[in-house]
Amino acid sequence: MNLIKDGDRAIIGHDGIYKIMVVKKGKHASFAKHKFAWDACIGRSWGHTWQIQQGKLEKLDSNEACGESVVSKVLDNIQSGADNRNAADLSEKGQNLERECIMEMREEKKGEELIEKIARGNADFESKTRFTQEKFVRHKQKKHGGRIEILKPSMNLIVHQKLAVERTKGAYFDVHEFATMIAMANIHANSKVLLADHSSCFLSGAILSKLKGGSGELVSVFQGQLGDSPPHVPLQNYEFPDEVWDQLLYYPAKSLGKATISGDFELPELKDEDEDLPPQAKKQKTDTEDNKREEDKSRISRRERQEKRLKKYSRAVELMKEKLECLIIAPKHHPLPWLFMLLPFLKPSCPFVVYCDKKEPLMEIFNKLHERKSAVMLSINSVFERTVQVLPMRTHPEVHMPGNRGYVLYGISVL
Amino acid sequence: MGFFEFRDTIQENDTVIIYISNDDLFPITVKKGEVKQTKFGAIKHNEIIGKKFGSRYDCARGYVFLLFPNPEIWTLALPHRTQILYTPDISRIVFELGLSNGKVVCESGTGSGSLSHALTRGIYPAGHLHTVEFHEERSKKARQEFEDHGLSKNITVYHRDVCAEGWPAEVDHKADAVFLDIPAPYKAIEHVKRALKLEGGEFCNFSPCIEQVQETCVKLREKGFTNIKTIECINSQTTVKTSHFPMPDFGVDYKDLEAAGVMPTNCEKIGTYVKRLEKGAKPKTRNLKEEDEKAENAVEKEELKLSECNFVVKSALAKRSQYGHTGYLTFARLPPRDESL
Ligand SMILES: C[S@@+](CC[C@H](N)C(=O)[O-])C[C@H]1O[C@@H](n2cnc3c(N)ncnc32)[C@H](O)[C@@H]1O
Repeated sequence: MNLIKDGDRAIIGHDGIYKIMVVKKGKHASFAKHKFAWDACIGRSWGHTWQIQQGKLEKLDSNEACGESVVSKVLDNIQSGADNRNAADLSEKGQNLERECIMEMREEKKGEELIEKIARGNADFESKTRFTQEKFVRHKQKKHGGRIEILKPSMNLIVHQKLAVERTKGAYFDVHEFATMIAMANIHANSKVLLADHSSCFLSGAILSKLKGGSGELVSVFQGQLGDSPPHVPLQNYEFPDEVWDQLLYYPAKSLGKATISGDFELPELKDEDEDLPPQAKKQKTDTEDNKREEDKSRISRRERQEKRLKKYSRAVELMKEKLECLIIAPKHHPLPWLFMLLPFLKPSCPFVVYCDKKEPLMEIFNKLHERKSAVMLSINSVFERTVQVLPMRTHPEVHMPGNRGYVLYGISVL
Repeated sequence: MGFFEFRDTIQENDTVIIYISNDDLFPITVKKGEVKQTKFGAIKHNEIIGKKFGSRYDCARGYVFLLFPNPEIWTLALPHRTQILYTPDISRIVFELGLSNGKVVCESGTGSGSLSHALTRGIYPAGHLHTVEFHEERSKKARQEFEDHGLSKNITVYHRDVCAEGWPAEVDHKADAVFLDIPAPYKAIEHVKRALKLEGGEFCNFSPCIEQVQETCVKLREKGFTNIKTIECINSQTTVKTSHFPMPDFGVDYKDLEAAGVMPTNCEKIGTYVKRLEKGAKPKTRNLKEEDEKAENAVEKEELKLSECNFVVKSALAKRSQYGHTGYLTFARLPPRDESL
């Protein structure tokens, strides 16, 4: 059985709002301004829902864990009106309780009691219909309820959490586009994957978690030059064992141009010491993925590190010469040069996907591929997704839905 | 053959996908001496053995491509025995179920096996798919197909009624994830719960009608599932086409109209033009591209008048009618059942 341990990474939150944190015995953390101590959850199962109560975690029984249980509890002894003819308008003389007062009450009152207080503090709450009241309670419960789930990180949860954070910062792929890319690229644990990913390595993390336990390998072509490693990737949330890191290989883009023209792939030379590097280059290097990881893991010598990097480069070259079985491209740059640079390293009859948040660059690629007759099954995909609220007598699509969507070009290479 | 063990060369007994166009592709099982008739003419099996996957095969009246199957291509090529799920829904289902190598997943109904292949890819090579279908003939055909695709070790098909009996007792509390695509999913939730691991797991339901979703959600809440969420995905798939807009003829040269300040821009600069074909000239063919290029050059050389030209636009076009609503996807999570832990 899998239980929560001190030092584990955990995904905590509720209703689609999550954070990734490290469980620390004797320490506090906070979620939505609710502060709590971790101790109560250590040694318990993953996946429970907890109530934050005066700074402590209290496990909820499964019949209480569902948000709807709060709705019925709170409204149990509250009257309701037949319709809203006498109800105050939304913005008018609504809440009688001051915000500070609510924040103070959060400290002492139990979840449902607090919500009931807030409800009663609302002008003529009892004259409103049951449906209006339920909606109100659901909303306040999300905001002030102080409930969290503590979940074991998995690829889909990590991606959901990360994408939700990133999307608030601007154009980025969303969960559906991400899912489409991973599926259409036909990735399974034994796949040989070629990747150009500049999406803060979302894709490398997800792909590696798919390759885990299989014979698959991932060749990541990164923007950099001979001797570099890819930028430090925020993959610690996955807590991959060492074997998975061995499945990650890479090769720098700046050496690829020459290699495709001459067929000769350069490899970095082993140097005894890095001392001859200018200090600036050294500084840059400490930011790279394998350095960081390995530095805090143990004191492997520079030499060994270089050897390890050389091994990753050489294996990547071997695989590129043999050609790989799927190709994924999600660059910051124009995707067309990336695709035509990497397509020769894809075996015939294998899928490729290209992500772009604009359609036009993909249309350009589509035309060129069509002209060269180098691919079939070409299509450009985007999806219109909406969430539906499903409740007895109150089912409807939600008001908010994602606006600008990205596009995924799909094709199969042919001879 | 191994559906997920890519191989370069076609061998006897392989499942090969014959690609004619995005809307016209079908599978064949390669057998020495057999011949397959297509609209372009015959495909002789003997001639494709030893060829590379991805190569072109010339028939009498056109050519096809020989492709290695994968779940997305299979979904488009498979013989339909039922309604099936398509890639936009499938990719989301597989993602949300959190599948990875070694996991155990339960499905019902198997139907035409469109989803089953993608579920299996998610758990391949160490995991297992237990799929239940109450239509005997369909369950047999699916079992045969999975065997032909080299997936028997990863998929078991059971012929039974999932609402009455659920999955076999050996599967109890073994599943990491369960998926339903049947007319009355709300009647099977108890069995879903039985199949899922005691430490909890993921559930997904696909239903075309909102009434089924409604009842399923009520049942899920009743049985202690949390994080119940329903979404609808409508995929828009486009291909790129070239369109021609004839330029109107006002009896004078466009240059003069620009000089007079009537035309707001230098029309020649705003894009590409091709000479309009004379009446009775060879009509546009599918292979327009090369002709376009020749014609484009012609515009430059001969200084053609724009009024004799077509303005060329490349645009992304969807089909006139495409899949809109397929169904609602409902996701839910079952928390661990042991309250003491
Ligand atoms: C729409 S099809 C599923 C299609 C499948 N998801 C696919 O992608 O190919 C539904 C299938 O469920 C089967 N089915 C319906 N009710 C069932 C039940 N109670 N037990 C087992 N199978 C059932 C039907 O026979 C049918 O083949």
